Amino acid sequence: MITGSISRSDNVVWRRVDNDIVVIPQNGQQIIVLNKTAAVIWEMLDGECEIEYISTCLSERFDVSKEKARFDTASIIETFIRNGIAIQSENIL
Amino acid sequence: MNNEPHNLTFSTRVQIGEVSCEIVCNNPDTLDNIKSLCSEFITNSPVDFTLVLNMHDAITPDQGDTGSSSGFAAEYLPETDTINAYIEYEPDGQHFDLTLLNRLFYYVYYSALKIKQYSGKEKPLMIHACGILLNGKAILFAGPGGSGKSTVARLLDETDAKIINDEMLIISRHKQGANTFIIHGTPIIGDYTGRLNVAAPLDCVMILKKSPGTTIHAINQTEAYTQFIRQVVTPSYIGQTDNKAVLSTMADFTGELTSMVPFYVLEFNLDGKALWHELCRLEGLTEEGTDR
Repeated sequence: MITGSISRSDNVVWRRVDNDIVVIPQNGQQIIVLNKTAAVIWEMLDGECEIEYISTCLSERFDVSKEKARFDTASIIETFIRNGIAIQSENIL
Repeated sequence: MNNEPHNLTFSTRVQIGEVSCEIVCNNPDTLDNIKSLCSEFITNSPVDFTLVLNMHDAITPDQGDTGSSSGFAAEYLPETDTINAYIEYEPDGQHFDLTLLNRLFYYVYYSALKIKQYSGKEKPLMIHACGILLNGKAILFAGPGGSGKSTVARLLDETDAKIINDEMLIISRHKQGANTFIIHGTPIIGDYTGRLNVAAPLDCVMILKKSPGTTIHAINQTEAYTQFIRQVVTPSYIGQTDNKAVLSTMADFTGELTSMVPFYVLEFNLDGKALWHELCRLEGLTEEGTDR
């Protein structure tokens, strides 16, 4: 399980294009276009916001239960980390 | 600028976009070959940058690092605005890998841009694309190796379109800051033999996709962005280390381009008439030239 704060990897460049967020890895790997939920989470990954705070914001923004928001947040962040575009700052439990 | 004389006797001067590059070589046959290949781009403009080609029958070790493949190494000498390249050639002294020359050209170009006082709003970039001149404007066909850039050039060879380059072009913003992008021909050598030393306003960009049929359809900015950015030739120069800054440059340029220029996907096969028909339809042109 991932807890604590997460930050965007220094090895990516990202831009808002039209209404999307596009993440471009430096290593030439596939460019990633984030969906709406992932984009909201991505913009909060400043290394200071903790996952619990992000999921609370997500719950309010999309009007979903805290449990679902927590699950979605963790799932999306795990995908970010697996793809090397985000890193965990602390507290791997 | 560097107008110092060189010890090596053989030289010529080649235009790469706005950069005038003096090529100095210790092998007259190699230089003659380059002069022949780049005849459209020979210039008398004042030298911005110098490329010294040291042809050897074995690679000279420890002569700099370009992320090189075997048989090739290069070093950037900022004090003289020079790239020294060490190239291994076949024993007959004639054979020269043209892909190395292409790599050196864009190293030279980007290195020269780094030092040159460029008068435009932003520095230009090189792109992997086939460019054609049609009705006074440039149309780009972009895609990675094997996507069909040279095939498109050959298919359009018998039409009214003129092939600017089938491999790599330079794209810049209009100097007055207007929302116009300008395409420049380059001496980069692709599969198609003809290359033009011209500049023309960019009309549109087509992302290439091989298909059983031939159609052209518009794509949104995000799709255009993700498809196009990888076709920008990384603006790196020898010795550069800040890869994130380089990628940011590419990202910002692609963002501006895709927000201002129409992007399409061209699905195509080997039917040149169908391709020409679709292009004429898009541009509102009659199809003269199809059967020439």
